[in-house]
Amino acid sequence: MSKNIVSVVKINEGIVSRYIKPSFVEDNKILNEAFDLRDRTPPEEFVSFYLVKNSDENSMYKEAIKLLPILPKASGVMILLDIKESLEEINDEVEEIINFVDKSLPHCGLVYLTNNRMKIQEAKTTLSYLAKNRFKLVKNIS
Amino acid sequence: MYIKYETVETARFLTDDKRFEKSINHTVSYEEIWNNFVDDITFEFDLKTRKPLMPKDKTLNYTTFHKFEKAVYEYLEEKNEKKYLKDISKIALKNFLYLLPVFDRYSPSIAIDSDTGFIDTTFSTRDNGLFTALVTENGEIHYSRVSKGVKIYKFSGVAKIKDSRDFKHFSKVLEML
Repeated sequence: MSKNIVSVVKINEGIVSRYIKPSFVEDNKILNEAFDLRDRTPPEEFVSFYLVKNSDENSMYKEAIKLLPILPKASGVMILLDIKESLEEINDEVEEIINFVDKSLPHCGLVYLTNNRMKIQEAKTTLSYLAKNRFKLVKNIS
Repeated sequence: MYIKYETVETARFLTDDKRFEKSINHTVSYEEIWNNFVDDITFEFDLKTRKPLMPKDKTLNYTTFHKFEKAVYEYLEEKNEKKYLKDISKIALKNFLYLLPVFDRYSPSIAIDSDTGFIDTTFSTRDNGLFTALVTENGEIHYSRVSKGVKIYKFSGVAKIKDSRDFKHFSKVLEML
């Protein structure tokens, strides 16, 4: 019997982008649901991000739009996250809580490594907090 | 938060020997009016008509209630396309509504967590941070407050409520906002 060997390549640094639809942005807050596993047919195992070249902020937003496989809504937002910072802020316990993994770069995925509801809630809230300081409305990206 | 609805129930009591009858005016608290309403609520969502959950003759009015209905209908619309999304937990909806008078003071954002079907709320904190609370179906509320001092710091935990009339005590957690 053969075994499927799946190799997982972790991404530990760089800047990643994610498009957030309008209903998950309210009063300059990015809601936790922006980081749900809801985008694809289950069993969805990761939250999609795109690795962008680390350059000036405006160029990163523009690149992020180009990398999207869909046409974003003008009232949606694009967020940028620093992978290293996100990992440090969320994996602050003995056991790791999230990872970023290669999903055929520049596509990469955020993976939750725990089923503990409270830890996931904290992780999502931290992601939302980090994102709320670094996002731009799609219509303002040019 | 504001409530227009007010009721005064007249309770009539007969003494044992029935020689005297007395009536008293008993004002039912807003809290109890609301809790009674939630006790009896049935969730009949109709995507076509978007029928309001609040009966027309009731004028209890919480801003958060309208946000709640909007969040539910938006999720149901999404679920219409993505059948695989979790069903909304009706018990979690009810638990959320018991909490609503407390939440309403802080004007939270509301969404349905598609990983669980529970109700997620997001609040801004006084120091420009975020507070979120996931209302589940077993009386647990998973909350997390993230903010920045010198570095990012967090307060996270689980509130465990066993009686619907005790959800109001979550206000003690919300004091950290």
